[in-house]
Parts: sequence; C-alpha cells; structure tokens
Amino acid sequence: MATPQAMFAAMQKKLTDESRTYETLGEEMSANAIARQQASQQLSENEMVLKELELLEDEAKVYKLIGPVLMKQDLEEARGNVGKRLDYIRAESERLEKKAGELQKKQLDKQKDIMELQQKMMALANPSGGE
Amino acid sequence: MSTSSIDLRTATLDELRSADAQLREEVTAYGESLHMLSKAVSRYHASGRAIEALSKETVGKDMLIPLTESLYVPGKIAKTNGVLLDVGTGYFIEHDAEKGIDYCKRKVNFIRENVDALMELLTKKRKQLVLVQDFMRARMQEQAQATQAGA
Repeated sequence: MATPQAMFAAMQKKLTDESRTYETLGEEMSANAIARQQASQQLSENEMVLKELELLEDEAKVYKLIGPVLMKQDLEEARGNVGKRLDYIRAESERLEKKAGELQKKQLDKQKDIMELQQKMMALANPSGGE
Repeated sequence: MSTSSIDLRTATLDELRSADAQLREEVTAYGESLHMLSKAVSRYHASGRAIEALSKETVGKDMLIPLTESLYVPGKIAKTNGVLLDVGTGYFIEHDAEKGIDYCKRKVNFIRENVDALMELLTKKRKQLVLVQDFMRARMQEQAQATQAGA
C-alpha cells in the first residue's frame, strides 16, 4: 500500500495533466469558434453571389478573379461552381458545429473529473482534523 | 452566441457577474458590427452615385484617375454605360449603368434591413445588461448586510 504522501503526489501529477488537457480543450474550442465564424461568413457571401448570378440573364458576362487576372466565365459554370462551394461550406459548417458540441461535452466531463480529484486530494490532505 | 438563460432572482453573484461580462461583450460586438454596416451602406451609396454620374457623361471626356489618394493621372472616359460589379468571392459581373445602380440600391436596402434587425437586438441586449447589473448591485448589498449582521 502506498503512503499517503506518494498517493498525494500521484494525484497532484494527475491534476496537472488533467488541467493541461482542459486548457488544450479550451484552445481547441476557441479555434473551432473562429473557424465556425469564418464558415458562416463564407456561407453568406457565397449565398449572395449565387443570388446575383441567379438574377442574371443568360447572355450576361461573368468574370472570375484568378490571381491578378479577370477570366471570362460561362454563366452556367459559374452558377454550378458557386453552388458546389456552398454545398461544401455547408457540410464544413455542420462538421464544425458537431465538433463544437463534442468539445463542449468533453470539457464539461474534464471539469467534473478535475473537481472530483481536487475533492479527493483535499480529503487526503486533511483526514478529519489533519496532523 | 446564445446567452444561456438564468433566473435573475435565484442566480448567484458569480453567475450574475459572468452574465454581465458576456452581455457587455455582446453589446460591444453588436455595436462594432453596426458601425461596420453603416460604413458599408455609405460605400454602396457612393458607388451608386458614381455610376449615376458616369452614365451622364460623354465618351472621350477628359478626367483624372486617382492612382493613390493624392496621385491622379489624366485619362479619358472610354465607356459611360457599363460597369463591372464585384459581387464577392472573386466574381465580377458586367452590367449596364442602370443595373449597376440597381445593384447598389438593392445592397443598401439589404444592409439597412440587417441594421434594423441588429439595432433591435442591441436594444434588447442593453436592457438585459441593465437588468443584470441592477440585480448584481442588489445581491452585493444583500451580502454586505449579511456579513455585517453576522459580525
């Protein structure tokens, strides 16, 4: 049987590790939030572009900026491309949304673990009255 | 971005504090967005007016083209009734002046709608913030009194 001191030291180490994972989770969550915001911005921008393209008559001239050059584009092709991009961004948004939920759940679980561990350590350090 | 709802009458001081911090952040963020949107409105306004002015000119008229804010080079108008609209994500559409003006107007209206919605939201958040702060002050007073009574 390990001495209380050894047990305490082991718990302390575990606490540091757990706190570190908790922090990493927080970082991941804020990165995820930024990515989600970007996705929603792209989504609305592309939606607006598609709306404009839908409003056009078939003979309208459409260009796409590729690097520094404006390239003439076929209208149908442009509509298709923007549509495809929208699908992609929507899928990406959904994926990020799901990830955010998972991360939040993980973070809550970790928080509970850490709190339990702290309580145990307190009980160990101060067994009804202490030294 | 949703505020988790709390019952102000039963919330602890800590909960009220974090609600206060969150609401403050939201109010600032919405205020900034509002500012950016109103800037965008004036830009589209200016663009619309520029197209209008251009469409009334004649081809070949001399003009000065701004290369930077302070450097202008002489040029001639080549076309008065055609504009290339940057509609976003790298797409440009060729339109006549009338449709260009129309586009700017549509954009202005679209942004105004957003401004109105945002304004409403901001007022709501401000009200919530005041409410939370009132409860926070009351709770602090209660606590101060409780400690005094206990001492």
